[in-house]
Amino acid sequence: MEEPMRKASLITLASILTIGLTVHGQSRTSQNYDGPKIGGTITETWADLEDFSALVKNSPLIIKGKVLKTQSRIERKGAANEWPFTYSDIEIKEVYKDTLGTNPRTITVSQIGGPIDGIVAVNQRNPAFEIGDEYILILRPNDGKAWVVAQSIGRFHLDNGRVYQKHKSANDKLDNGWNALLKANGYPTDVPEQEFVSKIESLELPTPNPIEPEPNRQKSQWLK
Amino acid sequence: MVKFLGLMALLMIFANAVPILAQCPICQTSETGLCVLWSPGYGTIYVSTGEYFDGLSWPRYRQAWANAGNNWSAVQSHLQFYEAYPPQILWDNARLGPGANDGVTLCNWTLPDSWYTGCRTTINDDLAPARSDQFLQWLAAHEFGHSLSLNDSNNPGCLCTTAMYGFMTDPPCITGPTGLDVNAINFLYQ
Ligand SMILES: [Zn+2]
Repeated sequence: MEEPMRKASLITLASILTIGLTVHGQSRTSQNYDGPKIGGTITETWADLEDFSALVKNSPLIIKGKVLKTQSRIERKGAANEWPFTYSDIEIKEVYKDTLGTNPRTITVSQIGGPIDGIVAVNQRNPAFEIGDEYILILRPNDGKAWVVAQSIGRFHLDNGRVYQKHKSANDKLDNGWNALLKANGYPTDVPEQEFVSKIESLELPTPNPIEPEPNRQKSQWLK
Repeated sequence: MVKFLGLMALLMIFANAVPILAQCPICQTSETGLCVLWSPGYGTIYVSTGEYFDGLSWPRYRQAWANAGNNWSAVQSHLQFYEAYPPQILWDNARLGPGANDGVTLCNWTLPDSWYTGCRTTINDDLAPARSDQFLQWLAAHEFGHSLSLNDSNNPGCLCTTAMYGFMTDPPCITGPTGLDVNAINFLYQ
């Protein structure tokens, strides 16, 4: 029953698209954008931007680690809602916080976006990790399979003894005030590593404050 | 049986004459502008939600996206959004997770073997059920804005002056495109 309905849906879509393609208009590039040609752009949206202190307090796992391996793949390949994901194995070098007591040696972190067949879907806030890079990561559990970067911004690149939010080489052409916003919310960036670690340690609460447990929800009846 | 069906809003752009702006509008002087070009100018927006989405939330999502489509359609006469018939919702087995964000949009990502172009949005079903109708409407308007090639604004002073500020309180102070967004659309699509 699924396949015929899906096909019908695609046929409807294709016919509508055909109409759309025949009447498209002109559009124009912003004079301000002269960045590299990229294969896709990912933007993320929040209701609440947690300040740095909340980000640390609400994350059960904060580590320093090195990216050992990355694998990018398409979830639901061929479906209309296919999405590229990157899964990175991180070798842990230091643990600053481990509320859940998982004591991990390596972890997997998932990110939306990444290179697929040489075409990169660039996640503006949280670009795919690259092998060999070192980070301090403020993490949240996702679905039991992989961790996620807290609010997509709990990632701090280590380079030459200094710590940079996102990545030292972050392309600021599309920044549009982002770094200023982070600084206003107490996010350290471009600071010595020891200063950064001291800030995390000073923010940790004596009693753990993990994120709320999974809500007791069942799969919708739509989704048989 | 409906898990693979999609809530699809179709964007069609018709060439009409509109006033030409000299440059992309900004909200505050530290910004580089709202406009980029990551959409092809026409295409389809797919909206999906997670595996655990609450069936009760589906009418709320649908209404939010319909309102957003209508609001953006009113910006220029040649911007027209249509909801696919029958209205559907995509099922997503890659959860964003409770520690992630409310919505994500991917635009202009076209692989060699891909058969369509356009943008896709995922709603975080760990967060959306608890959000207000007004917030979901702002979220839909914001993600639609990305699909129209508008970038995030990150100046807190822009919270209520553009639908493209990257964050919003719940309840929100705006739920649709503003005059600034209209100017940005008029710059991009002439
Ligand atoms: Zn956004």
